[in-house]
Amino acid sequence: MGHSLLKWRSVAIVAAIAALVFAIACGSDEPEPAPAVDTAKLIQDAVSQAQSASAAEIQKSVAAAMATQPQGASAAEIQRLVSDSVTSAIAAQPAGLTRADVESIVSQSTAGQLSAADVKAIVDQSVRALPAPEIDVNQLSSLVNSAVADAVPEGISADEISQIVQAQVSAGLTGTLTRGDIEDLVAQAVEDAVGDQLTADQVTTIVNASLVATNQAIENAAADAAQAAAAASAAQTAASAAQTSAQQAVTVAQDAQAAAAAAAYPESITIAVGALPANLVANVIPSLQSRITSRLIYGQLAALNDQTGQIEPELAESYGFVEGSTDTVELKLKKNIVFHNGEHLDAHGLLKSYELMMSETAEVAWAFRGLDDYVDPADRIGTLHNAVTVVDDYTLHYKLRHQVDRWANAFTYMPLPPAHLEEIGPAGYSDQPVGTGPYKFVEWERDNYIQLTRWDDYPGPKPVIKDIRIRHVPEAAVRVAGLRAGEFDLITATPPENVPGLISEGFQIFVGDSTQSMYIGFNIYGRFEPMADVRVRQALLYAVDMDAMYETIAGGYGTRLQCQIVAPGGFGYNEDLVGRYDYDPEKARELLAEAGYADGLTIPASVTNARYFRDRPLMDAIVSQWAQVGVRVDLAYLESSEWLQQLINSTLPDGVMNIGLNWYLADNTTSMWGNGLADPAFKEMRDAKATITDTAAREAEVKKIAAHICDNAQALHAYTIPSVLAFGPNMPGITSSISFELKIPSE
Amino acid sequence: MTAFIVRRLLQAALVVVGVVTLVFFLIRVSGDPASLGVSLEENRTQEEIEAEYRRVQKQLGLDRHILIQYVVFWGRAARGDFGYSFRYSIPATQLIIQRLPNSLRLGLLAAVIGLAAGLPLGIAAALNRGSILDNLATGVSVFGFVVPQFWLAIVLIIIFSVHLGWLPTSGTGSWKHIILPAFTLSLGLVATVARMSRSGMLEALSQDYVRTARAKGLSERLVIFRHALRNGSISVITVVVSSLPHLLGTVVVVEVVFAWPGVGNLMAQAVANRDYPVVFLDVLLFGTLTVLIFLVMDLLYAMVDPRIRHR
Repeated sequence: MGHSLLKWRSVAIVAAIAALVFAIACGSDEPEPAPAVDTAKLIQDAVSQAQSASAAEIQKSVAAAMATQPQGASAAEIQRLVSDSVTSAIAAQPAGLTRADVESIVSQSTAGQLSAADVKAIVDQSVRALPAPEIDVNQLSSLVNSAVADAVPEGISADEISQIVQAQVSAGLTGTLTRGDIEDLVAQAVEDAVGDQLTADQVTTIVNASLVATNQAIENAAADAAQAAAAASAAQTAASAAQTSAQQAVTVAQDAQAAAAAAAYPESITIAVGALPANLVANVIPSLQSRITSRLIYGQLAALNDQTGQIEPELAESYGFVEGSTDTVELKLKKNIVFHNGEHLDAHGLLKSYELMMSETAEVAWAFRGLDDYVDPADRIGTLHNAVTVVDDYTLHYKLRHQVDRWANAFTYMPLPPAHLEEIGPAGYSDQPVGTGPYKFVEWERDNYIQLTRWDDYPGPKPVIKDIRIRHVPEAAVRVAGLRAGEFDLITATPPENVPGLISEGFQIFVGDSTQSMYIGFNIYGRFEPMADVRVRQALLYAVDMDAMYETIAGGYGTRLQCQIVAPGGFGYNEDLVGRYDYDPEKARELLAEAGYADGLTIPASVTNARYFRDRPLMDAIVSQWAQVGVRVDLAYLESSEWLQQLINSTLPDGVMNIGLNWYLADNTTSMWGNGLADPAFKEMRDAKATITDTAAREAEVKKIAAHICDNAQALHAYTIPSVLAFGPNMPGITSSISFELKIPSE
Repeated sequence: MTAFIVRRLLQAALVVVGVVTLVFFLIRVSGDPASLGVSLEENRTQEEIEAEYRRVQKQLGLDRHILIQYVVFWGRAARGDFGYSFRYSIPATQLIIQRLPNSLRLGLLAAVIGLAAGLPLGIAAALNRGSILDNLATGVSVFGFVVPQFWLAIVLIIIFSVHLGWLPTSGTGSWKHIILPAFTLSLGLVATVARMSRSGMLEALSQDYVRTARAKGLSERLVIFRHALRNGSISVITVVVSSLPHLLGTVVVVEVVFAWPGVGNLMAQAVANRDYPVVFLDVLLFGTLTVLIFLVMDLLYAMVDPRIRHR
């Protein structure tokens, strides 16, 4: 049994090294379709159940790979790499490597000043080439030596490579470098140096990371030996079990890693953000950026889970349909919910807080989006008591107004302390906000800063940082400058082009994904007739090299969408749609000719400027590629509120492509407002979906709708908007969730 | 004189009312705050979205006819009530009052720097016409005119905050925080003052009374400081005073880049969010300040020159 544990541990370590090496070596390769993720689950389960510490190490390596990767390997990429390596390692080596083997590999790598390619070669060759169940260490050793000799005949050191690369990069650093420039520079430098595909920093990081990871893992293995036997069998069972994403392993391990480094965190930090909330009343805060603040102060009844893509209970104990009912939802509150001011929350209090918030004042104009499923928006107060009833002190019943599939959205509500709220009223609440989150409000100056301090009585895990000051710095360049000057500890919405420079200066980068998807919607049923022809729309999709735009405009951050609004891994993601409209300008021209537009056509369009992440550069790029197939665009860039007003009044130019974006909050996966809603087939499917209460059946329906939208080329899907955090090296483990919440490690 | 003052005050008030009226109607062309309050993010029908839009409109008091809104605005303004900020849900006056001291501090320091640097530079340039100093003054002037404040601000931040580490990049807190924004803001003023004081001085130096003074055998020092400078400074003061409203305009850019919590920054946010009450009050404030500056100038002229009073 002990041997079995070692086997898994070793496989995991090798996988980590291989993933790391491979991730970097293949950083600039074309993205490939993601494979099945069962092997990723295997790692995750194996490591977390058998030895949680080594999960941290794998993560450390993965995080290091992500951080040192100027291109920023996406989570999906890393996941794929890890999966690949593990698959091949296991396939080739059923009996597994011994600890000595791994030790040997790693010690060889450090002694020989290996390039990453060498390490990759070692892992690949030694694991794949040797079919024998037991690896002969001597054999492995000779393999390593020959690999080193082949790759680095002159024995160039990491430092030497480093110098060459840095000289090259700084020589080219005269203006703002694009990612492409940096890639070229690095590729050139490395080719000059070793004829390889790696920078010296990467080589160093790989070697260091593998060394550290392996040594620590080995130590852990020795310490854990006693409990290994039991855990190993559990790990094996779990490994064969199921299907979750490697992202889970990443998060689990990141927490562990962060906790380990807790002692080094600064006591107080300053965060620079592009926009501060206008209002600190929970639920009223409309902007996404402000979620950083609101989620530090407030807990939610339920919250979107990054891993599952589903809304799951947080302050609620549980919720679900009352047995036998299809329109009444029962919510059970946890019994120990306490606010910062000591107030206790029960079912009566929750109802009271709804009542207070629903008073029709301008202050709460934006509240209660999710509750519309229960309460008539036109008469909130009047319908509240019909919809929400208190069953006992900790149980409420919510009666749905009509059959809706996204009823759980209402539970993303952030409860407010009713007595405090009643005392000061919603208008005054902004200056004395009280929540249930890990941080207490201290003071704020509107659009200038917000000061928070840790709530020591927080029942959950205690965050490692005590005081947080969130500063409003609208200019991205000034945020970056402030980070460099040491004034800010962390900045949000970091421009992708600043990332390589910040990394080389020793800053950490976290690239998070989000649930916001960028797409260009086609107004199919407008007065602009050509848009009603599916061939024209398909031509517009074929004409765009979205992969290239994803790389250049989004910097390869976020996630590339696959002909649907849901990113891979999201609820209702339809994998059949991958690669449906790959870049093919020839085909675009053919389709246009078929539709009778061989001489091209001009499409009226209006899009927003600076409402969404790089919306204008994206549209500019698309317009230039459409021009290449003969499609001209009569384009209007509108200011945000003007665009919205036209959208609401349906006065946007017909035929429009409006850049839009959407949440996919759990079930809200098929929003295509402004275009698809006018499609009767879409409408029918959407309404049908709304009555399905069975999750699996509903997911199948979502996939069907996505396929319908893709088949009919109703929109050009781009990518999800990334959340790029940059911060100092003394704060490892800080991340942001897919709904732009800041995650601070706990003690 | 009293009649003159009253007449000018009435004219000034009319200008302010005109400006606010213009902004009141023009801002509606550029977008609607109610639309910003409507969520498009869910699976909603067109009817639901329109219903919500109308509700938000009503809450913001924008459902009534625009002329009624206009009358209501002035009716309330006359009582000192400029309404609640749509965005912050607190009285617009409170927001402005909170921010005004910051902007005044910044503006005053910039004005002081502008004068302290611009005047000597311009005078020295005029006295040493054609010299290196003159060329330098011209160079500074041209630089101050052409360089965009936005760009200058970022460059200053990179040099003094990132590389040298002497000054903070943005925000408020210590006396150090004001240096970069004040300097950036003052550059345009330095340029104007230097250029105008140079030409004013040159003009004065070419006057007959200067030649007479020189002919009398007065020392060059007396000629310059008693005769030329005193006369030349009148046009300089005119320029300086009339370029102060210009500061109000550039203060918006500078405050945004340096995240300076002043009225200009507030104005930028308010415009972007169609926060009408704040925009109107801001315009009223900027307009009143500008008009007051010119009014004071006119009154001073009138005191000096009786012909103006009777025109």
